[in-house]
Amino acid sequence: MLRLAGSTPTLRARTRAWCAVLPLACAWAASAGDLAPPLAQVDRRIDQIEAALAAAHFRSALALTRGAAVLLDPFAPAADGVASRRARLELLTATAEIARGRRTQARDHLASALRADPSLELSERDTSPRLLALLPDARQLAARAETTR
Amino acid sequence: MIPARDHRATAVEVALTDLERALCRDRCHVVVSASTGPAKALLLGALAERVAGVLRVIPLPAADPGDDLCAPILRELGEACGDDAEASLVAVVRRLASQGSALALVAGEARALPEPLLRRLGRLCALARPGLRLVLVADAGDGRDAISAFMAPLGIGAVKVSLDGPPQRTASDDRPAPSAPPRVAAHGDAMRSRAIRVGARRGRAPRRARAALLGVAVVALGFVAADRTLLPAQRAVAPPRVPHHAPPTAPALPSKPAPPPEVAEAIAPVELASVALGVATARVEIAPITPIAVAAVDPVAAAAPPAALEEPPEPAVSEAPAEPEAPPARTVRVSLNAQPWAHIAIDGRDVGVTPMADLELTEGPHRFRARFPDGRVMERTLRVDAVRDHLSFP
Repeated sequence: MLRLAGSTPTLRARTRAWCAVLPLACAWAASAGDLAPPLAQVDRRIDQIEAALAAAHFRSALALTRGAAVLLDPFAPAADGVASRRARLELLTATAEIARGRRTQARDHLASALRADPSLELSERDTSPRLLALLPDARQLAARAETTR
Repeated sequence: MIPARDHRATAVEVALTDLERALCRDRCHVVVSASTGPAKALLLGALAERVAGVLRVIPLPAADPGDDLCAPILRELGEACGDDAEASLVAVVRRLASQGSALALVAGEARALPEPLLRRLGRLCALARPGLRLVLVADAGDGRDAISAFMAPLGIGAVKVSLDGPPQRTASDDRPAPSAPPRVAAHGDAMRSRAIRVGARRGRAPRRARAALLGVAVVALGFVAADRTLLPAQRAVAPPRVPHHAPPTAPALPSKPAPPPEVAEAIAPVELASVALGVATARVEIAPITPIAVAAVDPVAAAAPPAALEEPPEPAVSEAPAEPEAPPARTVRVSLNAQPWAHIAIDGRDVGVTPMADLELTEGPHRFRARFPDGRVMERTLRVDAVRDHLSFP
């Protein structure tokens, strides 16, 4: 701990107290105000994309996915929670693309999702057969990308 | 760094989407409330371009209370004005409606409109409904009473689209609107489900600035107190924050109003720095869009028998039986989705598995049948047209 020259014990005690209190105050201000962690913005965007897809607004969903990808770009891929969000985002993009009949783009995004999160599983019950049909090709593409990396 | 003009353009773009939804899909009259004059001007200026394919947007001609209101509108539309201007205008609006279009009259300062003019507008709305929609611009400072003051003579219901807060119904919606069809209430709810905030959020800036100052103080004190850092994990992954200066005046709307989405979404990382400098920024928040399929189902169409694919709509279920000519059959690209997914049949014909977009159907009522993987079956009838082109199950 840095010793403050010429300071009285009372002043040091006050400084310590402020050092303890201010981070808490800042954290409170961040949670109460608009300083939410940037990943929360990505989560909000993903919620909006899911809502747009559910309402069959595929073009809006695609526009939102591009924006969400920009929000995710500054994060390190290995950072906590980034890979799963990236995979989710790519999966939603693939869904919007397959809705528009763009199979190649959908397959590429599905492969990106698998690269981002190799443990990604698609349930047959909850995933459209149109997307599931692309899964073997996407896995192959993802594996090829991993080996050439 | 993201230019401030892109922030503003993004805000206008989102507000335009909201307005377009209210006017084209929900077929409502709209009260636009905004605190900044330039934002309103940009918004209304771009509206005509945005909805050009669906609506004819013209400003409400300045007319004295004694003057005829309909003749200047007809002149603006390039239509001939007969002996009875009002009847001519109603006929023109009905013709637009029969073509799937409508006329939107934009009143720049609704509060300044004289009461006789408002009454005449209300009467015109009642006669020409649903082909005539009003866009009434009010100041954000106008309270509920001020809006009620100009809405009361009109005698219509309207959706309020606020550029500074979530949309809401106007005060006049508390009573039944004589000229509005029953579905307006349902569409108003759909409007309310989208919360949009556009423009400079000056009210939040001091609070956020305080929070930013607190953060700076903590970092400085932590530096003195033996390298204590705040939220190390978050800092490790936080994007670089670039100071960002917004120009003092509103920039002109770009010739192409829709900015690239990448620009729109990149606002967030630089926003904090802007606030720390005391610069107001534009920020857009879009709440989840709720499915509108239930509201879009036309009860008249629901009672009608299913029509075959690629067949023109039956005259018996036409929306305006008094129209002079039948609308030509046009194709509409329809998007469908289901949760989790479903086999879709339209008018008895299987078309595939959801999700699907750009399915070409003729305008008019169609019966959609969804068969879910668990065996459930749902049916909906939707009158497909240029604005009702999305359907989701359930």
